[in-house]
Amino acid sequence: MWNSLAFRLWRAAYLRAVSSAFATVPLYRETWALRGRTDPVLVPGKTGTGGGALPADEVHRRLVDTAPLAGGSTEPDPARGLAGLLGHATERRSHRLVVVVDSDVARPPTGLPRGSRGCVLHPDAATAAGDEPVLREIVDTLRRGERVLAVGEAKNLDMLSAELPAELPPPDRVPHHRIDRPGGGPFGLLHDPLLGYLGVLRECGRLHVDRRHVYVRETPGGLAFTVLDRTSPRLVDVLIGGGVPGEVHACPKHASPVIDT
Amino acid sequence: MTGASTESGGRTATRALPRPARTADHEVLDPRFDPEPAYWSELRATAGLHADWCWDALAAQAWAARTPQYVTVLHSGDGPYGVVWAAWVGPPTRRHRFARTKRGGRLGGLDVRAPNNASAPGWWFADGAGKRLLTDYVPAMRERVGGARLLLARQLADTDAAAIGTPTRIVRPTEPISVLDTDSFESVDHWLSELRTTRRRSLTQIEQTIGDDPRLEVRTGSMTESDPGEVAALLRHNAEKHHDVPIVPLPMFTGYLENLLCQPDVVGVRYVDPLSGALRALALILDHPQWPVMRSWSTLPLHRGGRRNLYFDMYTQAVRFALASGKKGVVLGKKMTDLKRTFGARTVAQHAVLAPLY
Repeated sequence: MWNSLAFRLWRAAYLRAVSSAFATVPLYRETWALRGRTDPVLVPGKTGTGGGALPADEVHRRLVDTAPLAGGSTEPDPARGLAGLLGHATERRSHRLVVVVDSDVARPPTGLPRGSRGCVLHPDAATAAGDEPVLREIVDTLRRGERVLAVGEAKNLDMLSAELPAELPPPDRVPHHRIDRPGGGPFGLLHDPLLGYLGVLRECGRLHVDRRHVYVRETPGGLAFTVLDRTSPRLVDVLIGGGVPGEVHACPKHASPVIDT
Repeated sequence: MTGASTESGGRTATRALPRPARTADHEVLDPRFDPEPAYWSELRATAGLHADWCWDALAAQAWAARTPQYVTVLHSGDGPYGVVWAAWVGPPTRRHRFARTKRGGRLGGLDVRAPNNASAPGWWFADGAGKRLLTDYVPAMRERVGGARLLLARQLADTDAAAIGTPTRIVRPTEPISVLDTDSFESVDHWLSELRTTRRRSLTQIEQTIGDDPRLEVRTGSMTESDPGEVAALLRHNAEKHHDVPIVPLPMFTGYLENLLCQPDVVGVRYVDPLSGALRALALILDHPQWPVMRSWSTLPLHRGGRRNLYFDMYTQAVRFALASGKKGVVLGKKMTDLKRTFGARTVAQHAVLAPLY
C-alpha cells in the first residue's frame, strides 16, 4: 500500500470502528453475529456473504438500529464530511458562502473554515422566482465581490448558474460524483446520500478517499465504505450505489488511497 | 407456561408429561453458539412456550443482549421435563455494550426470566414445581458456571415464591400482571355490556371513529408479510417512552423481529393506512392455545400519522381475537393496572426471589 505506517494507522482506525460497531450498534451486532463477516471474522466460522458489507438500501431500511446503545441520532447527514474536503476540491482556499444544491441534503454543512458560511438550496427552489432567500443571499454575496462555491449535481449547478443575473461573476462550482456514475475532472466530490462526502477528485484525475474520516475495502459485493468517526448513525461497511466493484490503491502522485472503479 | 402463570395456584403444564425421575441429565445451551436441539419444537409445544422461545429468535436475542444467556434443559428418561432461561450477570456487564463473544464468566448470578418478555416466567417444569429451580436447575448450572453465587427468579406466583425455601432469601412483590378472562363471553358486545357505562361508550365511539376514517384500517393476523424494519421503527416510539427503571431493557431490534415475526404463532393487530400501506400502530400478540400474551404496543406520534385512542381500541381487538380463536383469556401484561381493570381485567400477584447459592 501507499505507505506502510499510514496504511496501518488507517487500517487500525477501521478495525476500531468495526469492533466498536459490533459491541454497541444493534445493526452490526445482529448482522455480523448471525450472518458473519470477513476481514476481520468476528464469530469463528461465520463469514457471511459479501464479506459482511451491507447494501445502502438495507442500512436505510434499518436506520433505527444504527444508533449505538448509548443513544444518538438515526438521521443520516448527507452533508457530512464536506468541510474537510473543500481544501482539495477547489483551487481557491476559502469562500464566503458554500451552497449545497441537492435535494437529499436538508441541513447546511458544518465545520467550514472561519469566515465561510454554509447553506442548502433545493434544486426546485433554484428555479423558483427570485424571492428564494438562499438565492438572494448568493446574489448579494456575489454583488459584494465575495466568492461563492456551489456544490451539487452538475445539472443542478447549471440550473443555479442560469438563475443568477448574467452581469455577476459565476460562482465556483464543484460537481457531485456518484460511485456508479463517475464524472470527469478537473474537480469533483464523491457523494452518497446516506454516507455524505467520501472523497475528492484531485488534479491528478484520481478519486481520493477522505482517509481521515472514511475507510474503503474491497468486498465481493463491491467497494464497502466506512465512516470512521464515532458518530450516530454509525455507518460501517456500506455498499453504495448498489455495490460497485473497484480497487483501492495508492496514488503515485499524492501517496494517499484512491479508488478505481 | 403462560397459562399456568395466570392461575392463582402453582404452575401446570399445558399437556401433562410423565413425572420425571429425580436423578436427571441436563444440557446447558448458549443459543449464540449451540444449534437448535432436535427436540426443541416438541418441547416448545409441550411446555406452551411462546414464539419468543423459537430457537432462531433466542439466538438473535442472545446475541443482542448485554449479558450471556443460557437455556438449560433438564432431561429424565422420558425426555425433557424442564427448561429454564437465564441471563448470566457478572463482570464485565456494561449498560451500553453487548455481551462479550464468549460463554459466561467465572463469578456472577443467574437472572431467571423469560426472553424479552416480562409477562411470563422464564422456566417450565412438567410437574409445575417451582422448587425445582433450586433442587434441579441450580446444581445443573453450577456444573457449567461454578461461580454462580446468586439466583434471581422473577414472575413467581405466591406458591412458587414460598416453594423456593432457602435459609436466607429475599422475596419482594413485583408489579402484578393483568389478565382478562374472555371464555365467559359470547361476543365482543357481551364483553362490552359487562363494562362500566363510560368505558363501554368510549370504546364504541372509538371503534366507530376508526371505521369512519378512510385512512385507517384494522388488520388482525399473521405478521409473516410485515416489514421488520418498519415494525422495529414503530415499536421504538413506545420503547423510548418507558425509561422509568434504572437499567432500561433493550428494545426489539430488526434482526430479532425478522426471526420472531415469521413464526406462525405471532399475531399482529395492525392499524394500517389502506392507501399507502404504512403502519400507524401495532399490537403484537404472542399466541398460545389458551392464554395469548399482549407483547408490545406502539403507535406513531400524531404529527407523523398516528391517531388518537388506538391504544384503547387495541383491547377491543384483543378480545375479538381471543373470542374468535376460543381462548381462555388474554394476558395483558404489566403496567396500567387501573386502566386495564376498567376493561374487566384481574391482577395476578408476582414476586421476585433473590437467593444466595452456597
